[in-house]
Amino acid sequence: MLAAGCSLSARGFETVKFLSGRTFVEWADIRESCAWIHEDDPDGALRKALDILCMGLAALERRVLIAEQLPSGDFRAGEVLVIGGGPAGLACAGALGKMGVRVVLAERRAALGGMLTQLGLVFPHFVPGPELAGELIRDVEHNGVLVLPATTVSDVQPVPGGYSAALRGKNGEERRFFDAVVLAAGAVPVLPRGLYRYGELGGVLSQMELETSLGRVENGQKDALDLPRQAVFLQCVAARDEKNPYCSAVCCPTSLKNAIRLRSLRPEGSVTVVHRNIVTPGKHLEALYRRATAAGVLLRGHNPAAAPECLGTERVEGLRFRDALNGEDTVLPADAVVCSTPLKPLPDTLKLAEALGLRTDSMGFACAREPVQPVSPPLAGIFVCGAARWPAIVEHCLEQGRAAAVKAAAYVRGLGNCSGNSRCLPVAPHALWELMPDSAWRLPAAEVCGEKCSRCGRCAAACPYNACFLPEGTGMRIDARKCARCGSCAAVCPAGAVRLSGETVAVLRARIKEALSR
Amino acid sequence: MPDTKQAILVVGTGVAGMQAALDLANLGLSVHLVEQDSHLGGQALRLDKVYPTDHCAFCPVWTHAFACREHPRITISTGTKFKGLRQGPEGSLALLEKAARRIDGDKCVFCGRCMEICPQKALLGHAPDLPWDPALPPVPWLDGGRCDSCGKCEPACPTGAIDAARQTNTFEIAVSDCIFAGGFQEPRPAPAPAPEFGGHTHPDILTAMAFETLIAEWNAIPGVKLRCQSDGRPAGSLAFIQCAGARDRRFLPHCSAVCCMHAAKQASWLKRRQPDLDIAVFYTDLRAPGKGQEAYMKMAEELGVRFIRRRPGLVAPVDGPSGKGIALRHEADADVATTLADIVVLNGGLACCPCPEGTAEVSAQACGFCSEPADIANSVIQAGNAAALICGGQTGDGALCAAFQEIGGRS
Repeated sequence: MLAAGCSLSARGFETVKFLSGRTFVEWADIRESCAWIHEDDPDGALRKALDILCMGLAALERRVLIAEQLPSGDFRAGEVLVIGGGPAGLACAGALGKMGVRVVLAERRAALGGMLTQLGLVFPHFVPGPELAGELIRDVEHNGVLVLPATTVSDVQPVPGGYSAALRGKNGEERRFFDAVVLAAGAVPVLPRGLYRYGELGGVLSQMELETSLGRVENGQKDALDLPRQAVFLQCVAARDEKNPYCSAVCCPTSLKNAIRLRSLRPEGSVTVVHRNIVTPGKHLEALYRRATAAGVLLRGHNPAAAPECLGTERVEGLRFRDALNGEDTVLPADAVVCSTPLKPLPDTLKLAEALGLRTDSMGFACAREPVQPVSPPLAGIFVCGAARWPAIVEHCLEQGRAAAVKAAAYVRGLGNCSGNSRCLPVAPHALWELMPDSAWRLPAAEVCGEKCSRCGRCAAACPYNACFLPEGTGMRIDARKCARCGSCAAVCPAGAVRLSGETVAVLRARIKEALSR
Repeated sequence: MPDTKQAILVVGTGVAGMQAALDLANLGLSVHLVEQDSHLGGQALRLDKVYPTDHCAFCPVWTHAFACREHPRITISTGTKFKGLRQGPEGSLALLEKAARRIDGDKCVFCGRCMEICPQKALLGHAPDLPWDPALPPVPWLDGGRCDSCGKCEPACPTGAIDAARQTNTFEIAVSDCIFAGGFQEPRPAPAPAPEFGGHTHPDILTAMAFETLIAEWNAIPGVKLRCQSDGRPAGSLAFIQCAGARDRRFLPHCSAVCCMHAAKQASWLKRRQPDLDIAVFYTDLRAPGKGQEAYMKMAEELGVRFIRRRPGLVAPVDGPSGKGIALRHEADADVATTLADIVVLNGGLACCPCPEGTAEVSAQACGFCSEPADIANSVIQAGNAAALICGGQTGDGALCAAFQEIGGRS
């Protein structure tokens, strides 16, 4: 059947879906790419429309039956691997569990909770970190998530139909098949080694060290008088410089939170935050900023052109910096300088990302597609959330974890509906298919002619979606789940063994010949 | 899991609302998407570009809107206001009010016959403040000032979408849950985020969204320089005032979170188009904590955009011996200085849309700017979060769990 009308992407959807099945359908777009763009030349548009129709007819004559593709992998019921048991991973696994998806949660440490367990209080609501972690862990355990503590994901590979991960735990290594993988491996704070005389002068602390002693005082394990009386928080230590050219987003709120705690534990002391910009965007964090200023925390901008300096001989006695507003060099007396350092991804995360074919930025954080698909990289069945994606406060980690859970659940569900063959017609552009991962919208994958394939492997190297495989003893195989119909494999194949279904060379040639002959 | 027989109501079709609807629908739930405007897309439609990629905003927004329209489990009501929720005998009821629009967007197929037949040319392809014609869904835009109610368009419509006598229609639908994604509003009516910023009394003092329209690619003629709105003279200098009306106890105590990057985007793209333009950004705290944002700020700085850490205390148009333009009074070291700019952009006064009454009584979530100031990426994340919280509302024997088990059995 030759159908002439609007472009497929605008109104033809329903019609094509209706017509799909046993009929060959060739679609001639005579609206958007003809009538609309030649509005000022009706006669010319009419001639062009006729040309388009004739090209369609010529193409239709050459169409041959597309062989049904069989499922290329072992399609097991949806199981999702969540890597990392920090706030993002816990929120993700818990949400997936609630939605009825089978989840395996792998955490490299013996206990779940990640950095959350080390935080005495979590802003903006000042909830104790371990309490929040406990809630999330309960959620995970009550919803049938298989938790594997002290387990590292030593290797993960794309395999036909999904991903195969090697999980190394107490009882040795085990390989498992997963439909989807959520990367929530988190990040670690950089230690201010070699900066501002950290480790050399007493009283120059990292933010985590202060966090720990504040927690001890609040628990009654330590006396408040052990806390610094004149504390200075120095922001952007080892951040926003040449080595780490980014704002880590979590350090300003963390400093403000700890400054407020310090003010309430030692009200007779003073707390100053020396910053480049206080970064507290939004409603809740800006309220934290106000709360800090109301509690008497002093905020001083410094000019990074002149590097601040810790003064003192054995213990720190003060901090010298250049004031951003009046340009004068100022010395603040201090018995503690707290260095606020950024979060950095773990080296293991980089290795995993590489194995998954996931792009990372120059800082090593995993890339999705900003801004519209912030948790879904352009790889079928891979999702990222939490600080592995970008430094994020706990609240945002939870949000990202749940957002990734929704995407992963929809992905697994879409797979469940799809029987794996590709009878559905090439109707939706890839972007749209991703937004609606339902069987009816799936694209047929590229096809391989096994006899022509020489197993050279160029297709597998060119495929940006991890969809080409070279199993032992056969020609190349395409994973229909992951294929995005981009055509990269067909373009690089020297033997002409790959083609996009329906678009054979004969069809293309017929279309061009018809166009040129008129 | 929520009852799949009842729809989940999503109010607002900005990026957050559309994403929430798609996320829920992709999990097999029915969604009723309500928009008070005539088209989907929200404020993102008014953006010409998005940071940090500098890609055009149209494609992603259009794709989302298109997917919502075509999704078999999403029902869309445009021109419909959400009036509130109440607890009925068999669950929650949402009160919706369909506006008395002459053209029913849900029936119109955009064939264009009404536009041809209108003697007053009162029906246009799109609203004048939108750059493209196939608004989402495409519906002719009626210029109420021109229309003389001759009624010729009514019989010309093949689908009966036009009815001059249509009344406001109020109806209720049963909903199991509700996601509110009302987005943000720029301060309206015109006067003032803050009186010291000259309100919107002078055509050369603009809000950031109005300025986006002015400099958008679809409005700019290549090679033609930016001109003042007041008298058409070429603009040589431009000043952005950040936190205008925001982080201000009198108006909006929050930080709008998007404006530092928004200013950097507009400034850098103008600088690329017109390198001789002097651009200053007056800021309180420069906030670029998101992915790729610090590098973006650096890029703007390298293009020659001046970032000045001062908050102007007075903005007023002047026309005298010292020059013509908009004067800004601000601190400079220990003194007070006056800077003259041709165009001033007030940035930051974005108010969260309040959640309507009654939403607190039934299980309701909010996402997008109305819940917490967010850019596109964060709105999408918040939408996914809200969808997950609704799906996880009740654990155990829900319909979706059953659906998953069925899938498991089959494959």
